[in-house]
Amino acid sequence: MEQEQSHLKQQLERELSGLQFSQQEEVVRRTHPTTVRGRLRAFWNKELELPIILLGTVFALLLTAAFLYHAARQPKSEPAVSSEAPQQRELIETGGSIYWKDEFERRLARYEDPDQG
Amino acid sequence: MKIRIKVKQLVYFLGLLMVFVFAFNYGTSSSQKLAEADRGVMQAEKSEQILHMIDSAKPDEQLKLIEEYMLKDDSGDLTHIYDVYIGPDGSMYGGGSSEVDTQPEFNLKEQVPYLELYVQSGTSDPAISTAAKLLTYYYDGSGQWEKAAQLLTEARKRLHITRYIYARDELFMLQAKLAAEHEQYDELLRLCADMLLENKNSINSDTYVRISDLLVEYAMSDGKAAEMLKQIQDEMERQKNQMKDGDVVKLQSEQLQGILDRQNKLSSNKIKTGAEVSGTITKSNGEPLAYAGVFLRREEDINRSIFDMEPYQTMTNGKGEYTFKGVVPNSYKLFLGVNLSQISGWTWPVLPDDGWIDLRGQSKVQEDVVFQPLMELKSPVNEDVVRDKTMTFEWEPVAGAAYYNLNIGMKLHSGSTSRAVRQGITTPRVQVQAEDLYYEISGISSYSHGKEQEQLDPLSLLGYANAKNQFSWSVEAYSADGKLLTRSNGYRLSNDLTGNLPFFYLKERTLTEADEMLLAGKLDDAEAMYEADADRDPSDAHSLHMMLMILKGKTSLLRGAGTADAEEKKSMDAQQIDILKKLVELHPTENYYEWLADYYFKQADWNRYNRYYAIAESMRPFKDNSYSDGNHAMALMKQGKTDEAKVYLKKSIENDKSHRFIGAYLALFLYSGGSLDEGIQLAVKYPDRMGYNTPVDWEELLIAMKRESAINPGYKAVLKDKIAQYNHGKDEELKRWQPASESGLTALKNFMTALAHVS
Repeated sequence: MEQEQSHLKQQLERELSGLQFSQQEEVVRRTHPTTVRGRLRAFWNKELELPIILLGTVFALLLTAAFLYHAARQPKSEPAVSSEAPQQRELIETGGSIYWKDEFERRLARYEDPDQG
Repeated sequence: MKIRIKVKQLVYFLGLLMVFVFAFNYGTSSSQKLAEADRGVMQAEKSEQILHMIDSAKPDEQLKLIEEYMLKDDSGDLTHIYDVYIGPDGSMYGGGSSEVDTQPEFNLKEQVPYLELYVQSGTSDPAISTAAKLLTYYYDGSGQWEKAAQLLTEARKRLHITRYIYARDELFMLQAKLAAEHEQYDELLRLCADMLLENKNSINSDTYVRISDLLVEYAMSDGKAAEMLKQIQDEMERQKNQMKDGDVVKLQSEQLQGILDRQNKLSSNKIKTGAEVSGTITKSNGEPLAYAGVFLRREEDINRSIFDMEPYQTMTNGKGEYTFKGVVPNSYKLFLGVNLSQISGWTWPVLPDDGWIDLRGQSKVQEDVVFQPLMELKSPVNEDVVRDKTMTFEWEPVAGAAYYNLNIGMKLHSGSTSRAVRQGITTPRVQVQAEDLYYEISGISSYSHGKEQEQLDPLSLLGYANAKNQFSWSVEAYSADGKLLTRSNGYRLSNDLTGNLPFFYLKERTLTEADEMLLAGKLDDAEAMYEADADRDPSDAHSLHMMLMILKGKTSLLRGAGTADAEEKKSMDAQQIDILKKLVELHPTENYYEWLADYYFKQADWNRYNRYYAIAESMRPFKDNSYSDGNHAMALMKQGKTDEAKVYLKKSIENDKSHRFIGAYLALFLYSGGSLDEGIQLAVKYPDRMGYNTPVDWEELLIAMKRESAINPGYKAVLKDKIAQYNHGKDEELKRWQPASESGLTALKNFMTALAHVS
């Protein structure tokens, strides 16, 4: 057993004899940074361990706040408009006349629906 | 649970989030601005920007931009380049879609330098052809037709011969048309010959027909043109004989026949040259409808949408003027192609039966069109709720109007319907009793989903008595001589034009339980409830009216020709008559009496018919009665009261622009000793214009009869005898009468067959 171990050791030493560790300085510089740049880099790559519940809550709050902000700024009667300038507008024929559909709906929304009132 | 995250990953993530928030913010605020801004102004600015962009671009970029903004969707065909096509029979959207491209419009004059540039150095063949066509209309309209012809020749040279035969043909045709219009007949013949030669094997029959249309008129006076026409006909005949597909052969034969018909029409009228039809299209404020499409459409084409092959198409010039030359004698109507910005807020005041241009040898006809501003409604509007027994309709008066007609419409399961409820109103306001509306008899509609059984639309059954339905209304203004001046319905495409929306609710009555049941779609339950209500309270006119409407609807759904259906229909008719007799006691209306009269008309029970008709006639308010007058005349005729019948027929024909009963009038006229010559004159004066039934050319029929009578001494007696049979309702006997072809009575038989369809 001992013999076998020393045999393995010899073999290992022989095979590793070609390898030399020469980056001690680099490792030390990274583990114990002394320059400002080094410190910053260490911070940049620092691993944080965050509770998922806290992170999720913060994210959800942010989204809700952004959404509410926009919803409040949007006038109520305005129908949803697409984010691109419309190239196509729809015509609607109703009551014997022809209107732009968006304009007609906006106008109609101003008058209260008697069935709901 | 926790997650491991590097500081840098956290920062990247937050950064991305910020970008999203900003993008969202920017996007919505800009589109919001767009919705609020006046689009008209923006459009004008935008088209200016585009022109500027084209001007300052590099040459090859320039061509691309011209293609993109001026030549992209259009074929340059007048039948496609406009947003809306309107005629006396109504308007239609171009392309049939309600989605409209809101890209800026350029007026043709603005486009001219760019289109010229494109014809000179453009690269796409179809776009060159489009540009050339548009320029041709522009130059021809501004009196520079030679320039147009030259441009077409140049443009044709620029097209690749093998690839774009269609585009070349189109330019050839346009140039030939131009030559014909400006009476350059040698040029026309040369162009036709060139075109036939160049496309020897690939020419399509449509092109042949169009060339023939151009040649027909000229062929009357010139041997060479006649020869060319003959050559084309022979070629079409030859192609026809080679074809296998039955439909194509049929089409080809029809087209060939069409050419021959037109040729015959010209030669039989001994007319050497076609007429000139010209005029201006303006708005009542003097503004011309510049560069609008003008279509002079033949009677036989009017009932379909405008198609490329129709011979008389042109464009107004900058002053709104148009001219057609060499128009072959026929009956025509004018149709227009306009853009939304031209029609919005305006209407072309013309009625479906109006607007006929009859060319019978006149050399010049002027036909102007003046658009009028749409009428404005005052009340009830914007979904007002009316709860009173009396409704007041009010609108802005129109200068020069002698009377107004009021229409009320309602929403249906699919679509909507509208009917005239008051006519001949002399003030800009009118009172209507809600009660009167409830007993109106409107058309009953039905619908089905997929393969489901067809069912009656409860909205159409309940009509104006439906306190839940939304109603709309409109008015038309007429001059003292019955000409339409303007109307309230039309294109209303901007903020200020949207005006008062013509919608209201009529909540004077409350719906009964049976009504609610009906609206819930349970027709049979509702019918049982109406019957129970009517039994409980014999004075409940509403329930009786509803029973009547449901029966009427059910009868209309009986489509089967079987005896079972016929029996069922008979029993339903009898039930309806019972209900009607009760209803006229409770709530007499003209409509109910007319219904009763009509029933006894069909039964040939003249005593009852005459009684009910007399009551209906006495209740009739001011209104167009041409149909009921004509129908009554038929009843009188069948009773042997020829003189009275003649009076009513004459009244009907004079008031009815479609001259629906002219056949019957002619028959009576001949029966009472009138000559065929006089009959022909009457037929010319009152041509049959029942567009949707097949109109009959009574003039032609009578001319043929005149020819027969000249060689057949006993003709008059046979004629009188046959008309007597018709008068006495011996329809079956007449149908069985089949004179042999050598008997010299074929034209008379044709006349009698046509007469059987007059109703």
